[in-house]
Amino acid sequence: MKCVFLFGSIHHVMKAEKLLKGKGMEVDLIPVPREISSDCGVAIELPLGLKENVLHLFKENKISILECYTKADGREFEKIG
Amino acid sequence: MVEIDCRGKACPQPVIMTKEALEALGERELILIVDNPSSCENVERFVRSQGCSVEVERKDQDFYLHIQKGKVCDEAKGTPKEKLKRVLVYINSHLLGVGDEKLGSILMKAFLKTLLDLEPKPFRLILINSGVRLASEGSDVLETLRNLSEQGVEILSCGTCLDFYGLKEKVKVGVISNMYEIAQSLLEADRLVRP
Repeated sequence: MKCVFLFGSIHHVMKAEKLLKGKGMEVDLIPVPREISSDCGVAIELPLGLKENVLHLFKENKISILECYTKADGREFEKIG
Repeated sequence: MVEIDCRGKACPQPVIMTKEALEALGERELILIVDNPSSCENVERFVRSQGCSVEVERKDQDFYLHIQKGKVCDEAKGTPKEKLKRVLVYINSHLLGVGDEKLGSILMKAFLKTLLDLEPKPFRLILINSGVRLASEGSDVLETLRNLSEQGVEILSCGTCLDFYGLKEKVKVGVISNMYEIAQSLLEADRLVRP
């Protein structure tokens, strides 16, 4: 199970990626899936297990997220925040 | 069955009449009569370009073109896919677009990942100049390229470029190619996509 974070701007995505990679986390940038939004954009995908830790890091570093989804094996997304 | 007599009409009149007849044609079949080979050829070429099937019958000095409009819809549906059989993606940088490098890198990654979800799939993806970095050790799109490769997309990296960047031993996906093959691919592709 994965977790997908959407941000309000590409700058937030880049800042978040840098922060998480700096912490040695396994993060992946993905195009925002069509199932979630028709807007053009990039999202961050990471293992669901890291979610709480990541949310904490975002808060600490004042990175605001727009939305958060879980991603099941196929392409099923569920909004969780 | 509609029969249109274009004998005595000069080019491009027969083609225009054919076009009008095809557009107005409720029935699916049409016979067009012309009296010279060049009109016959022109009409034949035109109706084929419209996806119709045509058979030419010679009667004395005249040409009877049996045109089947029924094929229009059927073939028109198949045509785009048929034509798009050879979509070639040509990537000449590890970045997408001109501007900020970090952004360019993110966009390239997003582009390649998006290809995975879209149709038609390109038959081949050519990596040239710093584009070869994408298929080499340390690239963060290796997994995506591997998935594309599994879906039948051939991935070709320019050998000269790999050599230049010192990556010849570090190619992780696809094959090492040369300018002959790359230029040939560019010439033969039905559509070239340059992100």
